[in-house]
Amino acid sequence: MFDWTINSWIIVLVGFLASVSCSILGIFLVLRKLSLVADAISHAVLPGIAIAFLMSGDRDPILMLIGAAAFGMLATTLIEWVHRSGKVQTDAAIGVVFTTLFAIGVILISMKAGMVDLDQDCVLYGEIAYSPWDYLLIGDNSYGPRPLWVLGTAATINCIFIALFFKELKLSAFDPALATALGFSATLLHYLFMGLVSLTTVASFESVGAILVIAMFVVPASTAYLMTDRLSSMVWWVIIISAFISVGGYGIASAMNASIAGSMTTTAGVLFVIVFIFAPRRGLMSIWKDRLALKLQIATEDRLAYAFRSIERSSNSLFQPEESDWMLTWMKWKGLIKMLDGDWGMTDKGLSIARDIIRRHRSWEGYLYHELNVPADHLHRSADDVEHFLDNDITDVHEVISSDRTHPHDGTIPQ
Amino acid sequence: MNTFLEQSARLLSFSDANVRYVFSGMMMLGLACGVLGSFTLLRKRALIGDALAHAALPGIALAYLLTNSKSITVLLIGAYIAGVLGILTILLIRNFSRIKEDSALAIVLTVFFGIGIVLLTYIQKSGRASQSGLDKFLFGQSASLIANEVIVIGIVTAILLLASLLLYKEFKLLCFDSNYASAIGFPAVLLDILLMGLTVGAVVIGLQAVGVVLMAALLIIPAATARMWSQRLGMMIIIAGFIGAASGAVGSYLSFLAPRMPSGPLIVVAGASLFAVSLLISPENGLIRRFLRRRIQVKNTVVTNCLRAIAELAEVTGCDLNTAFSLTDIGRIRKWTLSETARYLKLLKTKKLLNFSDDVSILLTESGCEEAKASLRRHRLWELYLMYQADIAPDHVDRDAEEAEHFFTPELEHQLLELAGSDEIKSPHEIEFKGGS
Repeated sequence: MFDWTINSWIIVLVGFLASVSCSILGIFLVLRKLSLVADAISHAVLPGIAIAFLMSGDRDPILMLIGAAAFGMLATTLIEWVHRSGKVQTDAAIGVVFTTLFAIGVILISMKAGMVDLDQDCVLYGEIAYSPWDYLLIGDNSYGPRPLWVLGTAATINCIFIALFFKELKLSAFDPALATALGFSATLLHYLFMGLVSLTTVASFESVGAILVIAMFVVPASTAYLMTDRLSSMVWWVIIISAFISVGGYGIASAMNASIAGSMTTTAGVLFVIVFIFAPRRGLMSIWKDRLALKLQIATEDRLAYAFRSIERSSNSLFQPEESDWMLTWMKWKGLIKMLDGDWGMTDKGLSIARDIIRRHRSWEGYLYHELNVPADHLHRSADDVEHFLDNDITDVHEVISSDRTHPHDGTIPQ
Repeated sequence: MNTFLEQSARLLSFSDANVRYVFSGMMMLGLACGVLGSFTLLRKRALIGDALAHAALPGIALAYLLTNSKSITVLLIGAYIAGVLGILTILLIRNFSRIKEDSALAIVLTVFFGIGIVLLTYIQKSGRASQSGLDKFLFGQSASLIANEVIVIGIVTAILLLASLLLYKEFKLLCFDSNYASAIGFPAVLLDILLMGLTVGAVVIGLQAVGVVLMAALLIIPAATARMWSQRLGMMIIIAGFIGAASGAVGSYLSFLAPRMPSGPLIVVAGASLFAVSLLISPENGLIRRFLRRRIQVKNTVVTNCLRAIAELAEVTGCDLNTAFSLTDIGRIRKWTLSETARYLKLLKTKKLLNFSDDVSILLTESGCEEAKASLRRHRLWELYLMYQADIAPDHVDRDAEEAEHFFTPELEHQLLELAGSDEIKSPHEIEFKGGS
């Protein structure tokens, strides 16, 4: 595992550059709900690449770029046209157009027998493994692995674009109407952005293939979206994630002797699952923990309120008989109740919380009764829900708007 | 060329048992996909088929790795489980995080596919004896279907069609108004899951012939094509089933002729051609139909504009409508050149609204006079309405009325007449006409 050669690091670097250049744009695709556009574009460029390849008989990067860009544009135009003129719903229009273009691409490729450099497998999962030996030759000079140059350029351009237009992209991602109202052309920016998405797709295509390039666009960006609420932090997160998936992916691939691009995607998926479950605030665990804590808080408050009402009625037992023991243990541990002469009693802390709850409950009931004219027998349920979420200040509001301190059906409002 | 003809003859005569299997299998497959695709399309979930198909790949590879068998049943069960897992993952991501459905779809599609590719390349390089053949699941190879597999396809198709038939009413409601469905007590969520489960079934039986990459197209294209031909769900489903079966048959036929080529793309292109043809000739929104409709509309507009110009001319000059008018004068009312006026008036002649015409003047027929009066009346009625009901200044109503007058219904005209109280209406603004004859 650790006898990595320089070639291994070249492959890892190619994967990293592909992932960075895709996912940094992917952030905005994910935020703007355009993920499936990446899907459509990455399929639709295939006939362009195939035609360029058939025409030159060689991987001429410029020709392939032109072909792919032409078909990328053709696809967007066709989707729009089928949707508008043919009255076909958008998702169906996307589905029809990109599958058809991809099918044509595959047919073109398999028409020519023995295409060494471009076959069906390469279309699906790229040839990142060959990148160390794919030299950039200009004249007689070799300038190192070509994919490094291609993807390095793509990554640089994309990073510069994001840095230059960060403010504008941010605005158009979160509020396109405001962006237009403020006077910069959201449409122009959109086309620029989509153009870059197409070019990046083509640049990554031969390394990771048509379908896994979608992973590079969508998965790291979605993972970052769960990690942070700040757009600028998302950029740093996708770079970290890209580094992780290129190293991890290559490790898995060499251990299993399997496809490198596939392994990188799998690593990205695993990372996503981990973040999905364990992310600090957005993760499944965190959400469940918050819900559990809230449930516990509500249960505790309900018990304390019951105890408070029992004291008001001078009843002997402060807690309902069916009280589960662990709730009492929990409340004792939190210092809310204590044993007094073989019976449960509230501590000062418990008593003050209970008083707050009852005050909020009755203030809300008073508010509903006096201000909103809700009938007296409809108050309790609503107040029971709301009492846990109200601010203590609400009682002040109630005092201000209503001098009436009597309570519709249940004693006075405690101070 | 000779072999090509022989090949075609052999195929079309269906003398070869294998050919019969493949054709019947492909037609059943297309039928099932067309029917279920119609529901998913109307449910606005057309692209979910794409995610499901890609998600099935690791299922196939794992089933093979675990059982070491290439039996179609085992592989399809693996694919089915993976597809269902894919759906559940999409729902989990969508419901338990702030990631939207489109990203969830893309994540499942590509990560499951990536895992599938890892397993597939692992199988290929691990040098198992019977490893070849799994990669036909990528782009499909319909010619490799054998009797057993066709029987499996047939059974699954029968189940899918039966379920769709039994739940037709429920699915229909779900597709058109899922909120209403749950409001009147249908278990909408359960039905939704059931529909997706059936869709996975249709995807899975197609994997071998169409391949995971393009399987979605067999769900989307027939349904989208059928949608152009009918506004009724029942009819749409039948047409979609038929188109699916036809593209399956044509695609696998082509694939027999070009054995080196994967059959999936051929089937997709066959379906796409039907889609393109429908886009041109479908009765409601076909491009040809819309073009013709538009031309008729443009002609009608020109005719009414001419008639109104003549009526206005008669009013301005104080002549009776039943007299000859010169083309120059008519042109002057609308600021048309002489040749434009002549061209437009020709349309009136084809509609038998002109009694007489030569290069310089025309005479309306009786019905022409009536029509001219009517078109002027509609124009004025709308102008009055705009002025008195919508408070628009008199010098601004002419342009608006010109657009609205062509779309009058008899009811509207009647209502406006009642509002106006009289059908002798003076023009609220001056009609520009300089230098009459």
